[in-house]
Amino acid sequence: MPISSLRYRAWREKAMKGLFFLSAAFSLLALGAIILYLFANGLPFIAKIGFFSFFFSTTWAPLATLPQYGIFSMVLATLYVTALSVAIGAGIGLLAAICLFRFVPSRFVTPLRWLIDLLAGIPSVIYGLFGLVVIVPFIRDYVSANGMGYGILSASLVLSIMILPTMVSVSYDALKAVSPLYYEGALALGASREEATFKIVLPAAKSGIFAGLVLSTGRALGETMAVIMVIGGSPQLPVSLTESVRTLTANIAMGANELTSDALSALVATGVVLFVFALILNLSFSFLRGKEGGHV
Amino acid sequence: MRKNAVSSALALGLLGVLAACGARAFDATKSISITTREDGSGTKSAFMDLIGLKGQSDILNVIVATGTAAVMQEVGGNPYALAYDSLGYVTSKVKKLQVDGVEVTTANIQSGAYALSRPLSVIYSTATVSASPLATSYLRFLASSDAQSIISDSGYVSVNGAATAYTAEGSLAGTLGVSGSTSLQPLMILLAARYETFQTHATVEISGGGTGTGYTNAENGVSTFGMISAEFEATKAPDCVSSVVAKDGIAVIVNPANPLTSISLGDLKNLFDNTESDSTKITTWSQLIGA
Amino acid sequence: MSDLKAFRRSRNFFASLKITSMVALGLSLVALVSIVLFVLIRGTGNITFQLLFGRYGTSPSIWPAFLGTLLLIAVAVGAAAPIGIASAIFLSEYAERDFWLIRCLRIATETLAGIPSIVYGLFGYLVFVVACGWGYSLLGGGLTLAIMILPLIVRSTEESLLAVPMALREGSYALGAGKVRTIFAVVLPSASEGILTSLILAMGRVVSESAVLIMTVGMVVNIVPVSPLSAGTSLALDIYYFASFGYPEEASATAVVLLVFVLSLNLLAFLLARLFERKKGLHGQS
Repeated sequence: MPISSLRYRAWREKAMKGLFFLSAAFSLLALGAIILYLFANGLPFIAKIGFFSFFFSTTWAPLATLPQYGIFSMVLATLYVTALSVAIGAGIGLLAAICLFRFVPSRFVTPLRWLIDLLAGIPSVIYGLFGLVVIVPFIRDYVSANGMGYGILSASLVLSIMILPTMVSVSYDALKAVSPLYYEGALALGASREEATFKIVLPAAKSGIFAGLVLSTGRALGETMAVIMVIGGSPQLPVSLTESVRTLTANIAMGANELTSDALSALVATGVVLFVFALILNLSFSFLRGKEGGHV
Repeated sequence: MRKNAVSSALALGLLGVLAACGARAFDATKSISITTREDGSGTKSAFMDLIGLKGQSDILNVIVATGTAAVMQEVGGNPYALAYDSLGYVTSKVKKLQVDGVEVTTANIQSGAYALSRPLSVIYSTATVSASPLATSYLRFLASSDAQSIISDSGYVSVNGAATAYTAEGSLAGTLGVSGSTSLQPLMILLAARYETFQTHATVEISGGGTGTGYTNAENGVSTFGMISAEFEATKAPDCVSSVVAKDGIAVIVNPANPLTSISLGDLKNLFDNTESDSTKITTWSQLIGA
Repeated sequence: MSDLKAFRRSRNFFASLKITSMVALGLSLVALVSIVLFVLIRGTGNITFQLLFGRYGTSPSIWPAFLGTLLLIAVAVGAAAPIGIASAIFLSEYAERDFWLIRCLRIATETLAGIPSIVYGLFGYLVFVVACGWGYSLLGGGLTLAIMILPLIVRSTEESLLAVPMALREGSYALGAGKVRTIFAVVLPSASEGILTSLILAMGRVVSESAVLIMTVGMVVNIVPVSPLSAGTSLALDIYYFASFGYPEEASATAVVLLVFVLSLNLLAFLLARLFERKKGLHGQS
């Protein structure tokens, strides 16, 4: 091959590598921009109110004559909703994945997986409507002790349906990835099919399932439209599962109609807290995964 | 075996849903479940202002509905609910209460007999509008009888009794920007559609953003007209004037199974007042019915 | 004797777990069926020609929303796909050295994936609506969505690229091709099925998203968007608008339309996967 064409190709290789690198770096750039804009608009506000007063006070009243900005009630509500919905949704999702993995005839597996994946495609507004029209009245009339249908319980039920497909999908893949030798070995040692699956294969798929758990938690933490229609909306300290409360995401969305300067900064500040929570979730997962010695 | 379990679960679920729709006897000892709107809602700030609680934050345990569907859903489905909503959105699924014995009708709103009503207005800078024939014609349209009939058909109250029909100026073209209160947005969309049938080369672009945005956008010229859903406060937009488009009644609504027919303004204030002491606070329906 | 009891107890316990898992699967399917039925029952009766294709005038129409949604898909996927695919190529094909750098980029991608959608909405508002001065615009919404779906595309594309066997690349090098040519002529076509599927799923994400759009596109429901810089709305946003402003029948009908749209996208992805499976089978290699 002539020298000039070789040199051209070397140049092209370098140029493309640079292009690919820039694209990959774009994620870093975007993340940096997001952090920059959020923090630049939100931190001064938090500083103005005072961090402790902002985070730990339980009174949120931005449009009152004496505005107050305390998000602690909403932090608690967010934590409760996330925990409960992941407990229900991830639990059911994991069990369903195990069932698909081992206890369902193989010709049904793909269609059933596709059906459950459909749940993932349903827009959150529709989940919100479903929650509002079906779940809230049901809780109000048959479950609630105080005649209230909205609240942490309803929101958790709706969210758990939303995180089902993620959990099923990821857990199934994790279970499938476990070497069949584990299962067959257990059977050879005298375990029943169920014992082998639950006691041997399941722990072996731990890290993949844990990934699914983190994804589900992230989804539950960040969901807005579905939650806003079933959570009630009162920014008060949550003490029961069926009372009107508000999550951090609902707080931002509810304020989105009146974007005057102080109200906007309050929303961005709420967004900063939410972002930090999501960040802590992701970083702790990366850290834990690193400890397990898995691949990056 | 699994199929049976699934179908019986489905049947139970269906039964539950059906039973929930069934009628039950009204138990007046139950507590009142109050629904309000979100903080940015013009309807809410008007309502709180009208019952004398301007600028106050919500009471505890209130349901904050984001939109009329949620309000109608709650009041229509919960026998012990009480809420308020713009008259134009109230459907037959709920029952309207009289306030201080006055029925909420367009006649009573127009005469002022019904206490809970508010003006829906557009605000604009006179300089901008007089320089734009398009904007001037739109204002003329809003005052015309064509507009008034749309206003009353939609459940709002017409304010211009002496309206005449709108005559089109065929050559007008361009885009008008209108933004602000989401309470006025749906009505404005209907009015704009009719306007565009007269002025076929004009486009009226309507977005929301809230009453605050309406003030800001009209003041700094981002929109030709700002929509507001409360009394005009000149301090918020010193260069603008307002023009009332329609009056909107705020109805107090309860479930059709609720025997209550009228509520006093004082009781309404008590219900929504978060400074009301526990001893005087009205909490159960029995305190309102037969009182 | 106690050994036998323990043995039986263990077997019974796990057998009951099997039943629990079947119940779980059943519950999941019941949930799906309930929601789909809910939407269809409430909404199908309210679908009219005016609602779908008419002009938004005295009665509502979702035609502006439909166009808005298409525009959003075009902007979001159009922007995110090249960048996402190129990023994935870098992460999978050039990842030998610079381990620390790769780790940073990966953490950035994963963090982006974990950010709640409403926070993206706030970001989109602060940047595109305010800082860029565009006001509410479909372009701003589309670009915000692009950043949101970027990690999805990067992740799936990387997986598809990694699944291409090394032998294919080595064969290409052996024939004298350079790295770039190998990527474009051999690796990408081989991974194209996975990439295409991930793009379709990303489209589904764009269509279902509403929290981001509420703060960036302005929810202007009555005007057909004329340019990417116009404000507009999307199908999901219209559902929210109709539900909030007194058009419950239209809300349900739009929900049916949106559901059909999303299900079609999922069906398309499924069929594509099946098609590629069959193709692979024909050629006798993966």
